[in-house]
Amino acid sequence: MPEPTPAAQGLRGSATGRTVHAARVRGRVGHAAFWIVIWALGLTGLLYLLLPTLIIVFASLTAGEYIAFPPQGLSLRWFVRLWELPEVRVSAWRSLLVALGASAVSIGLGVAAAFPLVRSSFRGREALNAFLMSPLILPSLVYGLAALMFVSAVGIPLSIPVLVLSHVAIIVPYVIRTTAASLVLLDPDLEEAARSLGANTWQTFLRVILPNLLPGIATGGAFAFISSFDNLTVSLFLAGPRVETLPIRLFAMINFDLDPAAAAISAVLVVVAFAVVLLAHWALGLSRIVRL
Amino acid sequence: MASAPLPDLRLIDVTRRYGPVIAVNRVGLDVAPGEFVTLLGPSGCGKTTLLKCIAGFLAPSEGQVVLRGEVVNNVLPHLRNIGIVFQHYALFPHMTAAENIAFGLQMRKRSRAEIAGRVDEMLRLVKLPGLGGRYPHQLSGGQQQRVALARVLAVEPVLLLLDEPFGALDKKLRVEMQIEVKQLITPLRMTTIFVTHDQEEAMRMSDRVAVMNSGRIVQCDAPGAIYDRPRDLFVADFMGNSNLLDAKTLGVRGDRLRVVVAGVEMDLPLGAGEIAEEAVLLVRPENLALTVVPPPDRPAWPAVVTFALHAGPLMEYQVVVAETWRIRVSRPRMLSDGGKVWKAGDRVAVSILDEGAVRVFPARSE
Repeated sequence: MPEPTPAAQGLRGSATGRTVHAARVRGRVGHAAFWIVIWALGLTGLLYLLLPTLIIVFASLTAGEYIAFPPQGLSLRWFVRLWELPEVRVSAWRSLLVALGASAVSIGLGVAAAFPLVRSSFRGREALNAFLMSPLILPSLVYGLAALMFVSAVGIPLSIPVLVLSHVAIIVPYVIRTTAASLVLLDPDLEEAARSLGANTWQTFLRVILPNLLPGIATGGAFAFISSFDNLTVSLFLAGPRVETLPIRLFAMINFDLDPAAAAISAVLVVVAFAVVLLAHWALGLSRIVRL
Repeated sequence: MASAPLPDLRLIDVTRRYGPVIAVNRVGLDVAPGEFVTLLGPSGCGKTTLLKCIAGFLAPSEGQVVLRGEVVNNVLPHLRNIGIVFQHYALFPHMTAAENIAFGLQMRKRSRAEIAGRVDEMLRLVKLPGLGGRYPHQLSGGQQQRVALARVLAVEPVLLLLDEPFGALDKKLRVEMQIEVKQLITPLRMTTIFVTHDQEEAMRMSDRVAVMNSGRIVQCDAPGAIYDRPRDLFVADFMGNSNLLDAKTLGVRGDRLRVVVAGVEMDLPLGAGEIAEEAVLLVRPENLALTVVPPPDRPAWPAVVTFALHAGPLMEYQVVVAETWRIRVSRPRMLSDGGKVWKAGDRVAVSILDEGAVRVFPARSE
């Protein structure tokens, strides 16, 4: 007869066997508890973030005369009313235009800035990096005021281009960040491979580097677009009476007559933001199919 | 040779500094057309820096890089026509295999029809016909390696640089690819510089091996010569397994050097190089025999086997002489005499098979 192994002895109920069994049960309970805690915290957090947004979107569907939750009956009448308000329509188109323009400019500048920040090494690179990221940290209200003072000191009249450029300053860090992240992951040998195959610096960038940065650029561009489209604080200073944006219109409507149209604008802003994120996600998914 | 052909690559005193650090130190090297030369050395020996100087990604601080008679120090990499195969292949991930191969030709503004023909030819050459439409991530490591090679060969470079191209492959595939690459390159008479830290790989692939240490080429010779006649202790130690045993020189008698090694006196043929009183004896593990009784005609060390390892075709032993000197011995398992396999604890006599393959170096001054 072969000697029973220690584990087999444990199963037969010796003193050490019971201790081992208890330790295994404790391990299993601890493992389960960990995942319960993680899921509970995660779901609570998600609910906390989403609930107010869901409430305002739901409230915008009211059939009644006042903002209320739960809504009194369901209808799209406040969205129809929004569409009939010319100032809302105009400000919505303007916001879209400003956000598109500002995102386009920040993609151009951000991608260009990310390149030396990642690939070159020079004195003060970290400092420059911090400086370019500072609009994310700086209170945007302060930036708005500063930009207004600058623009009026230089003597440029408030206009859509001025608004676009002021948005660029606060949204460009998103593009730099995500592009830099993509660039860090990109094998530097790809550049040397392209160059040794006869590509000059421009061709290397356009044919090899840029296509591989698209996911990062798309993500950054989506964040930039949403930040510009939703921006109130900077626009408040630089929009002026003649170039009102959608968030400013919303702010005015909430201030003066809080009717469900305000909730409807909020719902539109929420839907646009989600649509842009989904679009970026979809574009990323496509490029991933090609990449990975 | 009076009419020696112009070397494809000539390095003249190439030096590269990073601040006070000298990464490459006055390296001179001629590579003849069609020659396969390996830069071999441990990491940090400067071989990759030297490669980048040749490719044009780094400018030498001093010295000249000469390609087919032309000094190219100030020529940008994309105008040098040097092909590089990278360790991780560096295939463009957003392009198919065929697009990768076509890239260099497109940069050279070849016609569409010519490019298509050349891409097909290259895919057949590297035995990947029909896989041109795959993206790099859809190819195995070995297949990616072949695409990388096809991409470089498509543009017919003056010089082929292989930067540790087999480092990412597992051992079996690595050996297969070594043979395959060698078979592919040899008929093309492609002048090649190969960078590796793997001495077996270097010996297997090369016409000549340049062993590098701290920025210098220590010895540049045919693989057999480097292995059998290393110039110094570094090369000896780096090329393959070796036993380095402290030796004391007793004197020279005619063409024989009398030394005492691990307590045993022996006469060795007097080789080249200086003679120092304190010396180090290099003997390869495969140059030692184990017997029960000492052979009558040769000196032998009495020893005890401390461990015995199976290494497939070989048995690897460690034996200890007088409880002090450890010696590694490797013996083929299939021998005409039956290839006796020893086990730990066996008492044996260790003797040198070929005295001509033993080297004596002055002891390291450090």
